[in-house]
Amino acid sequence: MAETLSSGTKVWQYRSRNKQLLSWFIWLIGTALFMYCWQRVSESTTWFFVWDAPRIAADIGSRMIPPRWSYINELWEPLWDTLNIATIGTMMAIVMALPVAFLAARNTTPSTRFIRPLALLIIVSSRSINSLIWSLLLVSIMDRAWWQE
Amino acid sequence: MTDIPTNPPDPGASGQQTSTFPANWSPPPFIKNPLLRWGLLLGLILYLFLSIGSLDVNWHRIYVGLDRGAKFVYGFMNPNFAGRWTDISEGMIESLVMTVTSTAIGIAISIPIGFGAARNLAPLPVYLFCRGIIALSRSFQEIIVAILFVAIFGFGPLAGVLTLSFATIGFLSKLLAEDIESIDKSQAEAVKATGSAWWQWLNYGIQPQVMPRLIGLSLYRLDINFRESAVVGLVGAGGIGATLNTAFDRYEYDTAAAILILIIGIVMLSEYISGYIRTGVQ
Repeated sequence: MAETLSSGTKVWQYRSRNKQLLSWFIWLIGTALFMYCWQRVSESTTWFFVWDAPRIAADIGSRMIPPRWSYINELWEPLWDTLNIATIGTMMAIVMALPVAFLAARNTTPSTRFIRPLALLIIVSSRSINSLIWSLLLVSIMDRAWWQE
Repeated sequence: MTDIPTNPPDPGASGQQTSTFPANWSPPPFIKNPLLRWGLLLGLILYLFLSIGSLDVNWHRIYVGLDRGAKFVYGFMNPNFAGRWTDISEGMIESLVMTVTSTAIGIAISIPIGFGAARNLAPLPVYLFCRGIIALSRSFQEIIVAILFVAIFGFGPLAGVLTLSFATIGFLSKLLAEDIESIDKSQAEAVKATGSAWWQWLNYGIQPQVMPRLIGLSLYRLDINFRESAVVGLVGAGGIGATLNTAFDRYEYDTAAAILILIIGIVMLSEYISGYIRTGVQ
């Protein structure tokens, strides 16, 4: 909030001059950054495919209806696997998370200097990398080519 | 001393009335019906038996894999930034570019939808329409949307940008709408009492109340979008994910470790910066 003197009378303004300038400057930087980023995205886009998108989308949509229910016999096994991944994964996660939680909490950890940073490192690395990347890594380690055996 | 209220006898126990105070106590069962209780337990055990039995663990493969796992740990200790630096830097810059673009587009779209999805602002049809968009956006995982968008718009960062923008709508609009619904009504009413028009009411009565939270949420979404932009590349939607996938495919764990370390570093940096900005705003 600020007031300026304009020919002797006080005029109310939302922001002072410096704050107004700062606000405009932040907007200018933000807009310029967005325009630059958009330009880069645009450069590496094949616009021909984008203009063709409505036709493709309509094609995909029309082929989705009606769903082919006869295919469901192929789906029972992956569905069962999905359920197992969810339940067994949760159970193993509980077993592994419980000690880490106690080691990471400041009032239950046996050593604030050595064990707590280690527990926090486990938590951070589990959180900041997506589960898909973790599975990519594990599949790569566990040999993806099961059909080559 | 006879007036001490004792627990009513447990119907599941022997039912024998004793004059002495009961010496041992067991908590009442979580499920009252014993048939249902034991049935559920038996079903759970049967399910676990079947599911663990169908895991089909190949110990030979795990044994062989341990070697590669050790190689990955070794690679993580010695990340190789220089070997594929042009690929890594190009992918990283593309990821950052996608993050900025998609967050900006996502915020621009989700603010009107967030206002429309607040019950105290919008009439019922608008509210239902906006809530429908939010539900649609929230119900699909980013990867599934990315697969669809890559099929529609072709390979490249545009599909990723659209995916992340779409995912931003569900996140930001929902939380913004909830924040608008819990504003202080008296402030908004005071602005209305000065005779403000509807837009002025939004601008002076409501927007200042939700602005700090909107900025905080936007910064948080920027962070999420960066992490997701590393993943949508796996299905061809641009970004560092494609480089990471190639590194894993070629068993170049040192390059993969370099990429992962860069991702963790950028996420931590953005967390620090957003915390700094948030304290400045509030």
